Amino acid sequence: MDENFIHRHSFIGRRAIIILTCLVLMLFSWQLEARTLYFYNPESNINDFRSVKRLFNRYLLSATKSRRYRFQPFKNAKIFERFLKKPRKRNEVFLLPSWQYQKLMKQKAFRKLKPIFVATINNNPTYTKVLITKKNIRSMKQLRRKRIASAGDRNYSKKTIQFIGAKNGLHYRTQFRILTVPKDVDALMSVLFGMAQGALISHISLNSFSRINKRKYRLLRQQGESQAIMLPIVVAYQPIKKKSTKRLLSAIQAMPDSSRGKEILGLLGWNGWKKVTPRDLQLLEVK
Amino acid sequence: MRNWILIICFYSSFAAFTAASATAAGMSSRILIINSDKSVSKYAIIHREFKSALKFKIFEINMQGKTFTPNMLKQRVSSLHPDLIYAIGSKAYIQTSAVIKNQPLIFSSMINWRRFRLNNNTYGVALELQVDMPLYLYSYLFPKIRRIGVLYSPRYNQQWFNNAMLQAQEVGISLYGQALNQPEEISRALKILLPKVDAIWLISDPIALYDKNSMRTIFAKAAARKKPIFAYNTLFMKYGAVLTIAADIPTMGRQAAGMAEDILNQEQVDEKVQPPAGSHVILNLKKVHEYGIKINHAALSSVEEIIQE
Repeated sequence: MDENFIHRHSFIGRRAIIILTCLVLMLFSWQLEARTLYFYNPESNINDFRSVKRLFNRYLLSATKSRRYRFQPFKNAKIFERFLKKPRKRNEVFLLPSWQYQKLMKQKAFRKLKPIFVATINNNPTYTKVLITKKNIRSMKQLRRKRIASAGDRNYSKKTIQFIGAKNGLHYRTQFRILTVPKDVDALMSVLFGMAQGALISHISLNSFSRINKRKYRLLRQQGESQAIMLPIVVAYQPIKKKSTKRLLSAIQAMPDSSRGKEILGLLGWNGWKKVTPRDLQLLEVK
Repeated sequence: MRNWILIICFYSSFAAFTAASATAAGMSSRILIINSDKSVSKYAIIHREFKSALKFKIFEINMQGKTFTPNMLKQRVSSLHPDLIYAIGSKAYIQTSAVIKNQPLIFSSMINWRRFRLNNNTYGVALELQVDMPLYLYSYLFPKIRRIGVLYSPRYNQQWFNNAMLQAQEVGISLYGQALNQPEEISRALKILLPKVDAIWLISDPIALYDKNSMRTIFAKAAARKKPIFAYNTLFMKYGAVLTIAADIPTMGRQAAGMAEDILNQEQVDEKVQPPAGSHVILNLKKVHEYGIKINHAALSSVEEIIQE
């Protein structure tokens, strides 16, 4: 075979390999720079994550003008925690309930995870839960071993009710039965129509109910209130070095400024963000 | 004094012992679940939720594809000695209620439970939500929708409509009813109703929803005027409903489990047949935008599912 021919072909082959390598590297760096907001919140009512994901990704695309930014929800706490520990997730952003963050802070592996924003409802980063019954229940003592309707995490609801009970003179281990319902309004209706004797709902939900149905609201009695609970927080590992991480955080912060962003926040249960302050950190009991 | 202390101690221990034995008795109780057809997803979900919420000994009969003569079922049930039976679906309820005598029987997943004969030992979770629930959510989600139209047949739903009108007033909504005596009147009724209202509330009415054609007419005429339809069943989403509010299936299973626990622990059950404690809300966000409906963003957290395309 002609030597020139072989030489020419090996030269072309080498060039092809270099171009291919460049392409692969480009693709790899593109992948590397892709950023995701990972979400876990059992308090959130929405259970059709496919549609929220689509809505969120569409928002991120319009806010960043790039397809590299994504939203990924989780349904299971344990899988979410395992995922958080992975070293390659160190440049990603996470959105989780404040109580779960407090729980994570007890583990060394998560110490560098710092809160950036906290969700707000009408500019308030905290909310309280109230225990309500019908008017005929005069004290919490009458609720011992009775059924309380509550949306959200069952154990967390139990602890909150026990905390309210302790403030009302009950032993902190007093037993209540929990009926888990999808949302606060279901818990409210359960009390009104006798499916449960009490309901643990957010103060905000009770206020909305009092505005919309004054007559039914007058049938209810508030037995007690929880401590202020911080709304979900956006956290990231410190220090934040990657530009793409900062860009994702900016897009999240800008959500209340667009109608699509507002819609997503509404679906998740709040309507704005604020930067975490030292006072918020105090409330989270994080030094 | 010492005697008094002894008496008090004796009574407290006796009370504690009685309570403990009652709980133990409760735990050793046997529950039989009779499922009309476990291959139906909603029946399977409710079955699973009921079972996982209880710590009693549970037995199961799946009626899927099987024919039980009354004698066969009676023998099968009595061989299992259940203290309580939970029937999922109408088929399971009808057949079981005909053969059992003393055991408490809880039903769920039966459309219009009032059609069925109930005994003294019958309890249940209805499939139909209280009217207050959808009315509250309409008002909460759509603050500008204040006039809602309903097509109903006085023969089947006059009482329901009268009650709904009162409840609607409580949440600041005016309900406009258009009575129907036969399905042929639907078009004419909509012609009168649609200009007066901001939305249509589709209820379970045998005349208004006589067949697919009546349903198509309602959806087409409402869409032509960009009037949203709110419905009671998720199935209406595919026909173009803007919002559906239905009973939440998993909650019904947990609710029935709570009832079972109360009955077996001999606690008082206030309502023998309860409305469902949970609701499942689906919102078509695309249609909301298309019709230019003002939505309360804060209320969106009450929605379980959204449709965007």
